[in-house]
Amino acid sequence: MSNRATASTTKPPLYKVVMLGDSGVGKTSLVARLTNPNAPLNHDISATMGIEFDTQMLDTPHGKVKAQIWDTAGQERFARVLLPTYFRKAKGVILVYDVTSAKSFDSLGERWMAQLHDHANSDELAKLLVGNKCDLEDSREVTKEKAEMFCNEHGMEHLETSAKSGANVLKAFERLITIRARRRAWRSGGASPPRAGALGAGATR
Amino acid sequence: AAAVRLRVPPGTRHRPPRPPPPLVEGRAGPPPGVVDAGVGGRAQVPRRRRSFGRQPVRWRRRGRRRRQVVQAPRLARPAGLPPAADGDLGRGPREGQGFVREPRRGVLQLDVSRPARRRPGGGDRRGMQQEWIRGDLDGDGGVFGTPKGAGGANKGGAMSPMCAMNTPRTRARRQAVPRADSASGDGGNSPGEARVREAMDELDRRLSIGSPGAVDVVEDHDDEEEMIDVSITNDREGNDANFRIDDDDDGGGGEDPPSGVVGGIPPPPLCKPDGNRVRNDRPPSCPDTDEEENLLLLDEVRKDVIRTHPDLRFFLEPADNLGQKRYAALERILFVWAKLNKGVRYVQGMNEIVGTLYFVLAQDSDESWSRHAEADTYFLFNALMVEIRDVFMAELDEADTGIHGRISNMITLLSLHDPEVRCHLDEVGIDPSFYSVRWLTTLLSREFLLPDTVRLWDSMFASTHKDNFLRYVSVTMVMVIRDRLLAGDFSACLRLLQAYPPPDLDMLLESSRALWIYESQVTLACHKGGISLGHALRSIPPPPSIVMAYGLHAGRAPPVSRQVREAGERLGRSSAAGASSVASAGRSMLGSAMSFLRGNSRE
Repeated sequence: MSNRATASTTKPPLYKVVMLGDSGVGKTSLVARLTNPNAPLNHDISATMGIEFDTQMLDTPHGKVKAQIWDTAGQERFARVLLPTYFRKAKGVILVYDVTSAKSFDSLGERWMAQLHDHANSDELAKLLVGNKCDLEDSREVTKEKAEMFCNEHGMEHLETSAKSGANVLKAFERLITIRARRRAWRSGGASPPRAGALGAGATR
Repeated sequence: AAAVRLRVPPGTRHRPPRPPPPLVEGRAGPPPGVVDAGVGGRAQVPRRRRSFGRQPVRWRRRGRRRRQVVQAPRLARPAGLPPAADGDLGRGPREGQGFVREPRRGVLQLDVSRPARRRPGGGDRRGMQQEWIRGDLDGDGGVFGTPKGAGGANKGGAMSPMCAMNTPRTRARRQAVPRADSASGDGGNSPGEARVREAMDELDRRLSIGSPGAVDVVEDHDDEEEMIDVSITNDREGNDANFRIDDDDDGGGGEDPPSGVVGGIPPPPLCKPDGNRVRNDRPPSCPDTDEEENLLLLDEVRKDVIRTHPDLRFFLEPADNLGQKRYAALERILFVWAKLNKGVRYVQGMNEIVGTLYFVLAQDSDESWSRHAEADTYFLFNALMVEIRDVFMAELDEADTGIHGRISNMITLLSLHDPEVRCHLDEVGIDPSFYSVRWLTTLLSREFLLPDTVRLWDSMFASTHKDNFLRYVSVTMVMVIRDRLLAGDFSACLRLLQAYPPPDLDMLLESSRALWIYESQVTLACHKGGISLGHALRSIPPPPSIVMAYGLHAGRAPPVSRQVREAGERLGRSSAAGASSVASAGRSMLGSAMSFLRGNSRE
């Protein structure tokens, strides 16, 4: 018993977070910005092949956690090869789309949500919808309202980030941890989690 | 006869000599039982014997041959293996080392009786034959699966660049052909060349350009000093004559448009799938109706192309938009290839391969070569894809040549030769696909610095079996960093494997070659000698340059005293701390490795 207590104080809990989304929406850039917030975002990020990992300590209101981020390849070919392994023991999923590309947003509904349901226990996972590249306001193709509607439908929260400027990047990961922690609390408290709409409203405040 | 049979050692399957066949009136044939019907071509023997009518001699010759066949396979020949010239893996142990060519029962006769299986001009390499056969079989594998060209043209187009890449013999033959030959305009006299030229024309048409001269980025070689200093072993003779033909074909017409056309097309979208100019002569296989799909594909390709080698000056050259134009060339190559190979389409990872090929070819110091780097890259890429295409195809995932099949082959090899590391990786929860997907789909080009990649690819292209080559190199890569892997946890191990520490490449290649040889010996001993795997591993000593779990490190065998000490330490450690893990692993592989260690420590 005491053993477990010391373990929890010395070793922060590990959160496995999976990044999903089309190729080129900026998943790797988001992770790079998170793990290296002060480095200028360089452009020498090659397309992710298969899967890449990174870990980052996050200081959230719910205590320190170690986020183990699984950065996945966007192309369908690799998703098919590796998807079964993506979600094993995963605690959260960040679905990323590109606000300047309507196609990347559409394929979330068509492709990624379906695969999420196929391969993972979707209710167990904390999910967050992230619209990346929000600094490119001029060429925006996906409005915030559209994304919010999508979120309400699927019981997610929404956030717009920019890996380039660094806006909201850290916040996105922290939000995910918060969602997860809140769910845990609800579950252990015996109450059922509130409906998606209420969750979204509560979170955006 | 019974006594004779008893004296025969088991396993040799020696049959006692038969008495000479009785002479039958008017027929000098052998008794019916003599003709070995199971061996192809042996049925001819009676007919020939009848014509010769010299039974006793025939009989003796047959007997001698059989005695030869019966001899035990000569397994232990590793000491005499000639080292390859530059340490590359070109000559696998299966080729010409006397392992497979050993006269096995029946095979010898089979070879002799069916000379048609050998290629007329090329070597007798099994690998080449398989490639040719494979290339023949799958219809869409050709360079141009157009219904327009005859089937023969397809094959010619698909195959010739490959023999350019693969066989030293073809290369040698090509070297012998003076360059002026094709320039003199008689390039069309050989059917193969005509096919290639047809294919090139086809490519030109599809690339929406008038002539190759118009699109090829002309390399400004003054820039070379500024670029990353890479010693490229660019085997210029390896670039075959086939590619040269089109220089000379279009030499006259190709010169005039370049400046105009290149200037006229804005750099990034050079590849216009729906360009007006080509609409009319677009072949029916590539209908114009799927413009939307074309745009999607182009979008997909472009997204990755602009992320190919983004740290390389070569692709960032601002002067004259050169970097952009180079990226546009990659885009065209990938787009055209994807359109012509619809079963595979475009998969991430191809951009890395094409980018590296193009980087090397475009920096040829001879401008007449580098001008045509784009076409050369295309055909080299195509030839390469004939072999590794299966990795990219989702339908073949579970096949032996598909991605899962290759990964599991690799893991089998790893667990045979370094079970400790394999078990450790399993324990910390690293699935092999986490790292090997990238290794296999980019042909290791993302793991090393570019000069090292180029060096590695030199060996790979020289290898008869790129699949095997990759497998042995991958396994060696894991074994080289085994000490660090064994000490690490999940994230440490994964970081090591995903961001591979810069290796001593020569050592890596040498020890992967040694591993290849050793593996072949062990397998052969199991299959032909009929001994168990553990017995084979124990009785055949690993070559000194191999990096293995058995106390040899970094390509050099440590002194025996140290070997013994280390083996003892390892034994002690594992018995004290890791006994439970060993037991839980419960793999016979591990058991055999441990017993090998025990044998080591005893001596």
